[in-house]
Amino acid sequence: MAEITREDRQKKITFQRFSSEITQEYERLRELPDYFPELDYFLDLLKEGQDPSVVEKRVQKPVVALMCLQAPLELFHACGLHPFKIFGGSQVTTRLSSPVLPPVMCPMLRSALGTLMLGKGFSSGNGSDNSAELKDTKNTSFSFWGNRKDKGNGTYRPVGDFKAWVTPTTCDWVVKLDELLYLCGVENKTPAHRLELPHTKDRPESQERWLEEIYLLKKFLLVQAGMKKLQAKVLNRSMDLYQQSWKLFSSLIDLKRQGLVSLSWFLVIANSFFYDDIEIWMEELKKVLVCFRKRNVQKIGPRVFVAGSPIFFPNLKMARIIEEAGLVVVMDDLCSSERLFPGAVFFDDYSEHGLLKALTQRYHQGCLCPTFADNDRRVNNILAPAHKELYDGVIFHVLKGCHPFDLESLSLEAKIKGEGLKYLKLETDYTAEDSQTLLTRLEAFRSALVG
Amino acid sequence: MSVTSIRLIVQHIAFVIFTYGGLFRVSIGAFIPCLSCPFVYSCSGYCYLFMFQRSIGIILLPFSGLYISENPVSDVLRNLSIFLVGLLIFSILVVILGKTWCGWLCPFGLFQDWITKLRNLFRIRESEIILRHKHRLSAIKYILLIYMIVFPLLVSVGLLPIDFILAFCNICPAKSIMPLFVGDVQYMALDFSSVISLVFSALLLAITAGMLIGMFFKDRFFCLFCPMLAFVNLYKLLYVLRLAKDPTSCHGCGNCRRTCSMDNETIYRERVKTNVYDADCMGCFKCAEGCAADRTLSVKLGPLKIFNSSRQYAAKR
Repeated sequence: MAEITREDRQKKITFQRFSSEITQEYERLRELPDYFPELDYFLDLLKEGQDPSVVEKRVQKPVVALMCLQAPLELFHACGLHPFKIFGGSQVTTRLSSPVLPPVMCPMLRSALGTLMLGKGFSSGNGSDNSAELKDTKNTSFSFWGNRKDKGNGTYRPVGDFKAWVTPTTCDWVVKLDELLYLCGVENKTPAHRLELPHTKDRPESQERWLEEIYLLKKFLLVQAGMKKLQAKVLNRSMDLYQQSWKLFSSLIDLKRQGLVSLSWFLVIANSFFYDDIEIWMEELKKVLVCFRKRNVQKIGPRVFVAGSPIFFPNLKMARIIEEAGLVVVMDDLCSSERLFPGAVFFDDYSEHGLLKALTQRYHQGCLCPTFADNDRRVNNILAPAHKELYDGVIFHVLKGCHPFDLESLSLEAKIKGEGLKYLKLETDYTAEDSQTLLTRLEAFRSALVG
Repeated sequence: MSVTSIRLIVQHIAFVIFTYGGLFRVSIGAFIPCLSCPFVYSCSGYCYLFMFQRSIGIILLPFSGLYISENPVSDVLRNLSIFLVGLLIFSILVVILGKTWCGWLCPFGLFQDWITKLRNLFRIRESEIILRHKHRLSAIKYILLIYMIVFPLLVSVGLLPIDFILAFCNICPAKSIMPLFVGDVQYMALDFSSVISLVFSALLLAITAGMLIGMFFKDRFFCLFCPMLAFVNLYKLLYVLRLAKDPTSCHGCGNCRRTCSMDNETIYRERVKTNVYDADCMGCFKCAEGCAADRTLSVKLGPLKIFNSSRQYAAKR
């Protein structure tokens, strides 16, 4: 019997806690007063879908890991691959990676790395999985990519369930992913591609470089998919499909604007997007839209815009506290929420080049991520006259260590306050300890909005 | 129904009326601000460039000595009044509809759109070489505008033969292409009636061939050179129907630029002004339709907003 190390035991405990963290959030959401059974599909995806092998079986396609939404998802679909955005929303897994990572670091990536570390230890040694201690981890309520057996050599694979990795070089933490993986001791032998993102949007040269990068990504994905050529009509079909899903998602946004869908449920639906086939997800979204409309239960309270760092399942702490404080989120610009899709993509050149150009421009120029140097139009999404009339105040959510958002918050604060709007910046991480403080501040903010 | 669908219907109706209206005795006049070619025998309205050149070409004709005038001053004044009345009618039509004449009503514009559809059917990419030199090429239309004023003027003072009076029409590809829709192929051949006619017809065929190739690889290629667009653009501050932008709502997604057949950058780049009519704009309003930012681009009829861009509209398309 292989010797169980301290590290292995630590991982096992983390894994169990991770499982329980997901289950607890799952149960909490099911107990919300605005829960209805049609939402189970999305909840189950979040609960079970975190394992890429499960997703692979579900979508019947090879799964490609994606570190950021900056890569055109339509291109993956057109190449017969399934993009799987690696979310890091667990507080438990951050604990595993924290000792080896820089002290002030984005909790999302810390969590994602911790999740990857769960697999690392199991792949070491002689590949035996006869340990009784380890065996019981398979009986937990959901499987996970680190807890799997490789069909080839009988060893557990750390990140081997992905066909490939794509890392858009957006924020510093993602740029240094390889370094961080090394620090965490995670071996990534799957084919990886770095998608270099030009950080200026308005210069034509940047657009040309970005287009070249997308051509390289296409080449990489075609190799992974075992395809020789990407047909323009196939790409066009994928783009149409994603446009259809955006249109449905846009209907959900409309319901959110009216206060009929809470931020929590919006996040559940948006976060689950990568865990199933897009067409099935769309069908389920249609059902949920009908239910939300039928129920027509409007949330009462001051309306707010939530900007800033993303919120991922299972750590929906911010959404929960905002709702507990009696605030209704009618708008947001989180990349894990309303910015899941880049939005409408219109073009007039239907050649392969024209389609790729349209996609790349839309994913680049239209992106509101603070990672860009020339991002002066980002504030327009918040301060547009048509938007300002929808909400009463702005909450800026910053995850500690999420530097682009933190830096941006200063200038945004000045601009928002300059317009005479109420603004509240909340800096937090995944821990639950500051929940009460946050709630108190949000309640005070609510009073200010009502007042 | 989307704006594009309505535009397509209007374009086709306008094409039928302008090209075949004459067969049903429809007459819209000779001051139409779009390329409704007078060389199409069944056309119902004449492109104003035709009348513009003719009326310039006859203004000073009584002094040219080409014919004997009893009262040349009175004749010149009469010719001038004909020119000014024509210009006034044309101006009124332009001020009311602005550039929508080009994007919604021009039959030659629709012909170019058909060629673009054909290219898209074969999924052949749009040329970027033309795009790179667009700013230089689009200056040609102003040169052509000057050309079509100067040459008829020289005819009117007797410095050039009468064949030069329709200086632009002689080289306009609409003259060779549009009559084909009524089965008239005479302008697709060399004209041996005189040396000047031969040169002009050869030039026209060469330009037509070049334009057809250009139109296939670039949307609305001819519009880059069209002096009518340059002429209509002179009135841009007076348009009743106009395009406006609220730069404070723009996210910079680039849909306006991508959907623009003329590849105009002004709307996308503008961050201060609300008047975003580009010199090359053809008033199709595809930009406003493709804009998914709420109330960022709008189409205004005088002070009244008749269309506002919005995410909901973009999602319904």
